Order: sequence, then structure tokens, then C-alpha cells
Amino acid sequence: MKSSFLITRDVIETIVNRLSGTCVFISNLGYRSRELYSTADGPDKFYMLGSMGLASSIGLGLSAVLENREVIVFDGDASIIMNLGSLGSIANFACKNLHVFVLDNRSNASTGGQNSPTAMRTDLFKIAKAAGVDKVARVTDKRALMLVLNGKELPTVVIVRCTDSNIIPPVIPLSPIRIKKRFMEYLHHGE
Amino acid sequence: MERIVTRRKKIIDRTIVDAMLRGNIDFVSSVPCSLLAGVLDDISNFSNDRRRKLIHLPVTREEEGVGVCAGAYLGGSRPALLMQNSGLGNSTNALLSLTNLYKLGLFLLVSFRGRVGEEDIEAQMPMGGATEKILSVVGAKSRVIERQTDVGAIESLAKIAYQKEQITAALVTSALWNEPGETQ
Repeated sequence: MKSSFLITRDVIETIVNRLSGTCVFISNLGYRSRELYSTADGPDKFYMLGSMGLASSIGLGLSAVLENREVIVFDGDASIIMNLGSLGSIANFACKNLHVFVLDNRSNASTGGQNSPTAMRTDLFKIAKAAGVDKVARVTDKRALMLVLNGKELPTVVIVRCTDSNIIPPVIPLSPIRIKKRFMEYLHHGE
Repeated sequence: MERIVTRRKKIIDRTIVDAMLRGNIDFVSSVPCSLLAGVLDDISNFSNDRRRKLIHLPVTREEEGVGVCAGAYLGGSRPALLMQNSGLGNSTNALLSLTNLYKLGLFLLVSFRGRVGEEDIEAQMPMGGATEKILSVVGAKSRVIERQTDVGAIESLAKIAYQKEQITAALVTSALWNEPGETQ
């Protein structure tokens, strides 16, 4: 059964391959950042290494001040549930250039695979809708993911049902200051 | 009489906002506080005025505001976060493991409730006693603002935050709006 789901690493790779060049990427701490790093490291990525729950908030602040760039956030189900107010703020204040992909593996994968609320009764698609986010999409397979990525306009929030890969991604060897410096240089001086 | 008090308060609110703008702040995130209500009104009005380049992004919780300000800083803005001192407790992890970890500039305008001598709301006393310790733990350069002559320090605290890429904080007290003994 499990193998029919999208794999987190493949989801990240597919999105980055499709959107690189026109977008910058912010990733949640733990396996999502490590997968993003090992898939396609570059100065257009900001790996959030601490502050669990705040990836979508960083994306919101960044998208508010960067008018001519798209901001992609890779968040997790358990982590966005830690910061549900963020969905309300995104609904009310986000510009069109913010797109939050919630990789919903229904667990706290980086801490030992404990069940998250979405493994039980909680439905993030409905929460995002009820928070007032206009454009929310639910993706459960590759075809649906490609439809979203090839659409005219990316949704604001995309809930991607997926499962973790068997491979544990490598630790990111970059220092936080290095991650920040090259990201800011990329944003403000191009390339 | 009431109108005179209101006008006096408005002047103080405006002095605070002017000092923030002189400190080059161009992005404000906020969680409301009654003491800062007038300041927030001014910021909100300024952000609606296209001639002024000020973005105001209200949030639901202080920790969320630390994240939003981090994103704005990465994007080249000079962010400030407005909150009551209780919010310092809600945001300590983010101030340490985001703002400090990456050395991001952030100015905090914090209303200082529950100080010794202001025991009217008992629930505010625990955070009142912890406020300056928390700021010290997160390495923030801070100053208590309780007189109108102190308000100018907001400008230099904000500038230090962006020059040195660190957290600075102005702790504003209710005494600032009551000076000089108008209501006591």
C-alpha cells in the first residue's frame, strides 16, 4: 500500500526541477531540508535549521518584500500544525508570489516517525480552506502534482500526501551564516 | 480634559513611530497590545500611504512574527516586531534558533507590563520579572523607555540591529504616556 504514495524526496525533486530559476526555496528543518540540499543545493535555497513551525512564516515575510520573485516553501504536516495561525495570516495578507507545499507524511518523520494529527482525524486541506486561503490544492499522485505545477497559476497552499523514502538524507554541512549570506547575495545581486 | 490627554497620548505615539522610521525600519509585524494601540494605528495608516515605504503585517502569535521578520530581513528589509512582553516567552526559541542562529537584524518594540510597582494585574507580574532576563538570554541590546526624552533611543537601537545583525529591544512602559504626572 505504502509504495503507491509519492515519496517526499521525489516530490521535492519534481517541484525544484520544474520551478528552479524563477523561484526561491525555503525548507522546513529536518529531513525536508536535507532532501532539498542533497537533491539540488544552491544559493536559491534557504534551509531553516531550527525554529520548527516557522517555514511558512519566513516565506510569508520574504514574499511580502520580494515583489518580483516567487517564493516556494517546503513545510511538513506536523510543523505547520504547530503554527496554524500562519494559515490565517497567509489567507489574509499573502501576496500572489507565495506557495506553500505541505508534504504530508502523516508523521514526525525526523524524530522517529511518531503519528502526527493528520494520521488521525485532522485534515489540513480543510483547515487551510477554513482559514480563508483561496487557492488550496490536494495532491495524492504524480499526475495531480504535475497538473498543479503546469497550471496557469500555482495555488497558495498545496497539501501533498506522501511517504518518506527509505534513504536517510545526509546532514547539511553548511553553516547557518553561510546559508544566509549566499541566499541574500543571490537575492540582491542575482545569480 | 479627556481630549487633551488623548492628544498628548497621540503625540507620544507619533514620536515613537517617527523614531522607528528614522531608525530606517520599513517592515513592521505585530501582535496587539493596548499600550501600543495608538502606535499600531499610526503604523497601519502609514502602511496604507503609498508615498511611505512601510509594510505592516499583523500576525497571530509573536513566534510567527519572528519568522515573518526573518523572511523580510532576508528579502532586504529592516524589520521590527511589536508585542507585549508576554510575547517574549512565546518567541524565545525562534529568537535564538532563527534570528540569532543566522545573525538576522531585528528590532523589538515591547510594551513592558507587570513591573514592580504595577501590581494591579497580578497575572502580568511573572513575565514582568522575567522580561529583562529573557532579553539578556537572547543577547538583545535593550533599553527601558519611560520618559519622552528616552524615545530618541529607539532610532539608535533600530540602527544597531541592522548594522550589527542582532536583536535590539526598546521596552516601553506605561509611565511614558502618563508623564508628567497627568493622571497620578
